Amino acid sequence: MPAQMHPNPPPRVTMLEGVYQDNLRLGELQRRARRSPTLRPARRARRSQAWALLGMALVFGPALGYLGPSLLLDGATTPLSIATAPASLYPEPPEWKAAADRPSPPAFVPVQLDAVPLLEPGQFAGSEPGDWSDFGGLLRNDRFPLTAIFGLDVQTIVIDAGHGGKDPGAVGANGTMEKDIALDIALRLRERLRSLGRYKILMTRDTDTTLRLNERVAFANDNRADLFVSIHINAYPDVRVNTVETYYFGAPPDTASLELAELENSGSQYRMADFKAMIEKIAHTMKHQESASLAASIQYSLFHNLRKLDHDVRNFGVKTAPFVVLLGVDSPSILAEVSCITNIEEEAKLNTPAYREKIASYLEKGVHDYLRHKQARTAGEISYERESNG
Amino acid sequence: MNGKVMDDSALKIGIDLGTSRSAIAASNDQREWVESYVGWPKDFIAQKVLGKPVLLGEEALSNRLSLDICRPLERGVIKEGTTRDEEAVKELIHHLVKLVDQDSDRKVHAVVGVPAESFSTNKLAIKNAVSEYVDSLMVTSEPFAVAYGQNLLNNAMVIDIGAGTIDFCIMHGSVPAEDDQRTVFTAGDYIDQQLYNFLSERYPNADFNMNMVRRFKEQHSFVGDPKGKVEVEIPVRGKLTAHDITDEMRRACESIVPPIVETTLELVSRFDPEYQDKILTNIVLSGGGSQIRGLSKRLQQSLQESGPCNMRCIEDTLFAGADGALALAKDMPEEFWENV
Repeated sequence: MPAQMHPNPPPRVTMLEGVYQDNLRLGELQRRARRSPTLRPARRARRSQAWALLGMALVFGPALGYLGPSLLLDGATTPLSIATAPASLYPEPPEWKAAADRPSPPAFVPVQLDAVPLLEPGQFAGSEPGDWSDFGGLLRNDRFPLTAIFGLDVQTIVIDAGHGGKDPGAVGANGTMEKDIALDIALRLRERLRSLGRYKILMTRDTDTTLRLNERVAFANDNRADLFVSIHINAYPDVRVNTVETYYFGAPPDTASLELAELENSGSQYRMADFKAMIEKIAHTMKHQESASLAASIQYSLFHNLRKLDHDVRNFGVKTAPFVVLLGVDSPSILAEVSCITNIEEEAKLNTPAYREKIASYLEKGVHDYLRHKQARTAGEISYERESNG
Repeated sequence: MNGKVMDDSALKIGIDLGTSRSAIAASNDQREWVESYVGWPKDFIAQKVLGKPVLLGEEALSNRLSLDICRPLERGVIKEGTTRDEEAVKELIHHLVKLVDQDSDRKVHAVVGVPAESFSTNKLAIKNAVSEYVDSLMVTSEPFAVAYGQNLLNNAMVIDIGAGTIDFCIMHGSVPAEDDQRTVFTAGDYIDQQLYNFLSERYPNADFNMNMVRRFKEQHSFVGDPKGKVEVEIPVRGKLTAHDITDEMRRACESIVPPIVETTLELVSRFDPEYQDKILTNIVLSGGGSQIRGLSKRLQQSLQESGPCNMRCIEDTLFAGADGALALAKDMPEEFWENV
């Protein structure tokens, strides 16, 4: 719904009134916050646990009937018990042991925008499990992704060929347009993923048409995409540079909102509006975890294979960035810059079907590895070491 | 400040709490700013040498080797949960207020600008930190404060490019709602990190740190065509050596262009279609990042692909937020102050 315009702006006093009202609401929150410090930490933790379990019971229980009761009631499979017995599911690789020595992140964690290390497929870039009796611990934990805990599956994959129609995207020195290369690679990826026979593969565009970002987002959401892969070709002023990088949306892990919900419910009454926010937080965390994992898998495949063809290709790594198309899509989503069109040699290669097919195959491998590891994580049947060695 | 006499001559102040720099403007015509650094002596010896329990701004930065130093507002928010950062914000606020308010008996009313999409929790944290030093306080979004101060109340967009965040705000004649505002994090610090990475890659033997990189950016940042070669001196094995960083500087600075363009178009496209063209032709850049040479021109060119676009930069970027917050503070009716 577009915002309403006021051709004749109201007097400033209306704006001042608006600022005042905002601050009155904030003042009320502040007063509640001041009342709550008397709450002892243990009591806060117990309330968080009860809140989390209640939320999961009421929302995910009915939605995942086969999982809900056992997840919530069976002592062997509660989130708490999974966290306290990780070795049976995932033997710790050395990096995780090192990570265990690091201090736990602050409750208000700013978004990380820097390039993250190149992870191998199936490896998570997360912290050690926090206190699982605390809802924040559940959200902060990356090691046991929520898709595995809740047994969520992938059925529909949407491939998005960047740019198109009136928007050529980046253009190489010899006139090669990003929109054409991205579309061709996307079509090739579609055929490859279709051949797996397990997933519904859709494309935001399969011809040279103009598509706005919000239309791409709407297409993915309307078709209930489980994964969203956006394909782009990079451009750099330095024509000698050839790069590969993969992005996912880097929204902050929103534990602050969780704490706010706790403050707002510092009495004995919980409201449905708060309840909904908690559940949305689970969905947000799931998207973040899976997007990071998918991005790591695709970047790993792209870089390690392209390096065999071009020793000078630079690994710009997995990054988070606030691209609108990644923000809007509800499902795990990534944007891969699979090549660099401003590199003249690379542009020439991109004009050969064989090279585009190779890139499509590397993307396919990245998606496939992610799905394979995700499936294994969900089933809880493999160890990290076995996968790494295999 | 409890126990002060309530009267009509309250000092009004506007504060722009920034990741990199914080500014304050007061109704007694005083304006001050400080680098948003706070440092505590590492040990007894350091405290003896420095002679102070806490150092702020440039003084903290220049003595950083002897200090536990922090920028408490990384990415525009107080890192809640870390007592040190909360304490640092309090020190910063206390310092700023002292700079403009030497009359300790006077009542102080303050408006503080915070990032556009700041969580309520963060607003609360800032409010808690500030309220110790003022008698009455309101917080508002930074770009709204800028817009108010610049009289951009209708059919306009403010893009405030700071160190921690870039804040977008559409003004349409009323206080902007959440849907009218966006915050993205590919801001000045992101450029610093990009530049640091690029330089590390190109000059692996050069010895530099993030402060030096930040300084390089502040002196030489640009997008598009350079005026000339950007050359800086960086030590290599202890010897100052000239390094050409032109390409790296351009790439780092241009890395923020796509997110700004995308977010601008996304925000505008949500607006009433009849007024979208008016917004696009009245975009104002503020914040330190707006001073990147060629940035407004590049952004305007990119946005012109979607239609006519006119973009300009605010002249006094350092104080635009604080001045806007002060304007709000001055215009706010007295009865409002008494109730918040």
